[in-house]
Amino acid sequence: MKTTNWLRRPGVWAVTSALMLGGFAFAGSSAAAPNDAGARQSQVRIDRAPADAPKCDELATASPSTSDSGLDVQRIIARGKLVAGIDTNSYLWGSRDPDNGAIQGFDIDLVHALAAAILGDPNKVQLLAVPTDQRIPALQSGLVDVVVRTFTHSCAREKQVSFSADYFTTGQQILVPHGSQVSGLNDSIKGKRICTATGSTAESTLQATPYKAQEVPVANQLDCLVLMQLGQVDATITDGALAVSQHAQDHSLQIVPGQLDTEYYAVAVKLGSRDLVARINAVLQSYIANGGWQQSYDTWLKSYTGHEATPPAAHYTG
Amino acid sequence: MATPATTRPAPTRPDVPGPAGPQVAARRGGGLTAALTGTPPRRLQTGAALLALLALLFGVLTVWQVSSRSSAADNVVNHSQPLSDDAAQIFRSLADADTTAATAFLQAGAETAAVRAQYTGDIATASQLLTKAAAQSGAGDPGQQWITELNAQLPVYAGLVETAKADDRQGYPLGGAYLRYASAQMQTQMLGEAQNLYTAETARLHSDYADARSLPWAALGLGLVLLAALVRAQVRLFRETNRVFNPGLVLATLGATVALLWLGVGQAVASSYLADSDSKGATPLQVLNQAEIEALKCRAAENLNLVARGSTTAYETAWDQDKTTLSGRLAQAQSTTSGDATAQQSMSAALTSWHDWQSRHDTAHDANQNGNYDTALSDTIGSGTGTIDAAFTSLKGSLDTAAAHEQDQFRSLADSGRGATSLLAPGAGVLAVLAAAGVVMGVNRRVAEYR
Repeated sequence: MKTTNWLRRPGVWAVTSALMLGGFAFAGSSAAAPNDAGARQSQVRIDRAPADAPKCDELATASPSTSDSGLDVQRIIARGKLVAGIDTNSYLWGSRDPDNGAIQGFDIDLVHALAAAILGDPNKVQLLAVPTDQRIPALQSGLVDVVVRTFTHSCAREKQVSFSADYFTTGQQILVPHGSQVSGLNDSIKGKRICTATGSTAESTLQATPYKAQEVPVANQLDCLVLMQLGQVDATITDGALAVSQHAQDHSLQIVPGQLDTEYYAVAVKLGSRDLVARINAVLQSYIANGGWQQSYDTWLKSYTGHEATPPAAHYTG
Repeated sequence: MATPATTRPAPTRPDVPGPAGPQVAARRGGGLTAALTGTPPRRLQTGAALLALLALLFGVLTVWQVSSRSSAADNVVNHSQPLSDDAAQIFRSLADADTTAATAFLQAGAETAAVRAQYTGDIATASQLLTKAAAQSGAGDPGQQWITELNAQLPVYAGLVETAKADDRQGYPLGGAYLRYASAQMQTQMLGEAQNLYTAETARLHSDYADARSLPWAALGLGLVLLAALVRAQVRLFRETNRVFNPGLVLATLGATVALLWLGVGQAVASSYLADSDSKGATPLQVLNQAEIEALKCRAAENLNLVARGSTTAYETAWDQDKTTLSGRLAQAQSTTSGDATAQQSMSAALTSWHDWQSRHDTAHDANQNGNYDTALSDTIGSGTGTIDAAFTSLKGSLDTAAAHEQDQFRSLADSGRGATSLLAPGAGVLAVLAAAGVVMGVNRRVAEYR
């Protein structure tokens, strides 16, 4: 099968559900951070923006439209099925229930909402597990219509794919074992072994600090949890949404309060599919308005994050 | 004693030359030789003593060389081949445990008793064989290091697998990450050590084979020297006495000839049987072991790809590589066993299963690519006859049958090889003593004639 050749690429160790592989180098420079969680405490906020960082508005997106006449929307309707690139290894976001095989989570709820709005049936979906580093190629080759996979909206990625309105706010956080004295990227973390996923924003965050030599790189943020449970690392840096996911799988972990930066998740489609972006934005608008977003948040995330949350406000650009 | 030859000349030897005495001794040079060969009977006695010594030396050398070859052959059969096979079995058990752990993980809550028993059995077998191998290898043994490391890692691995299952049953993707971590420990560390152990044990097997099969050149050479000396002695005696046969020396010559032939032919036959036991037994067995190990790797890659659930393409890549290696190993196993109808039958069955496996893999792969994970899962680990699991089990069964046959071949050929020299050491020893006695007896009769 020609379309599946991307899965055969040699030597690829994709990250199970790490979010921000290389894509967030610019988040620190973002001017728009309206939903940035307040508590920063003693955190060192890292400004990692390179001098030549492209400036863009990460909240900017096409205005919503309920029109189904666009080519990309028509293709989905003609097929009668929405093909979505998802993750099956991010607990609470997209994971498989081993008892009944159902794939479920906050991202999966959104995929069903998209299918319900565009095709009239939430179950007219085909869920394809896509490795982290294959999210963009899968869209480019047309293997999937949308990627809903804790995918961060970044200016660099806007050159390769098109993003919908952002639907979740998150940021880098530090996870430590119970009883750890680590309070942030400061003297308290000196000499500790710090786990990050190779190529992730967490890695570049760490590399910009004096503690870069303490990095223990792994292929996948979930591998950090394995290493932490086996006592092989003392701290993990990953984004907040996945820190919550790890914490949900091991309650003895502590999430150090405060975020190191601010990032947004969005639905990604093939570059230039403006009609589909507009259609998805309309779905997101009503999904948020009719309480679907809130209900999904309450089901999957609220009891783990321990606080209320609202979706980021989109900047529609017409 | 003055000059008995002149005072009492042998009546039957009128043409015997006069006393050679000092001139002869002087001609032969050396004071000691002169003293020892002062007179013809002395000379005869000295010559006889040297000949007898040569015969005894030949006997001792033969017994020693044959015994060391026999004990090397015994080592092949009783020690190094079983250890090499055990090392392969350790590797197989570990690889099978890894494969089966992934199957059990994929079965999740519905883990079958058979799969559970297989996993437990693999861990127990590996553990027992490691203990056995540790007991049989001495300090400084090249395999010792790998045995120690494997012994330390096995319980850790088993613990990781249990943690993976426990997390999975909670519904946590962490379980999959644990299983991949456990499998990485197995694939990158433990199987490497098991491979090193196998290589070390197989190197010892080859060294024992070489020892057992080497021809005893020193004994053969000395035997030829002995024969030549016996013939030369008889020729000289004939010239001196005009008697064609000296019964003692003839007996000695016969004994030496038989011993030499027995030695040469026996060792050549043994060596040839041992060579066959290697080429028609041990070597095909090694190739079959390698093929089975590759089959287990393929199966592990396939299972772990489903465990990873699209989080990585690493297992797809591993399958593609292992698949090529396995095809190569199976072709090698088929050509190595080409002269053996029984093994060929198993091999063609194995190749059929491998063919089925690959086409079923492609079907399951396509299903997975189209998002039909559950279909791919049941195609891969399901219990029906059309599943990958069925093809894998059948391939493994055929390889096991072929391996058992090769093991029998090895044992029977190696036993024939050992049998060919079983009486050689004591027999050659007795013949050498007989030859020595013959020399002494024959020459003494001549010497008596001088009195």
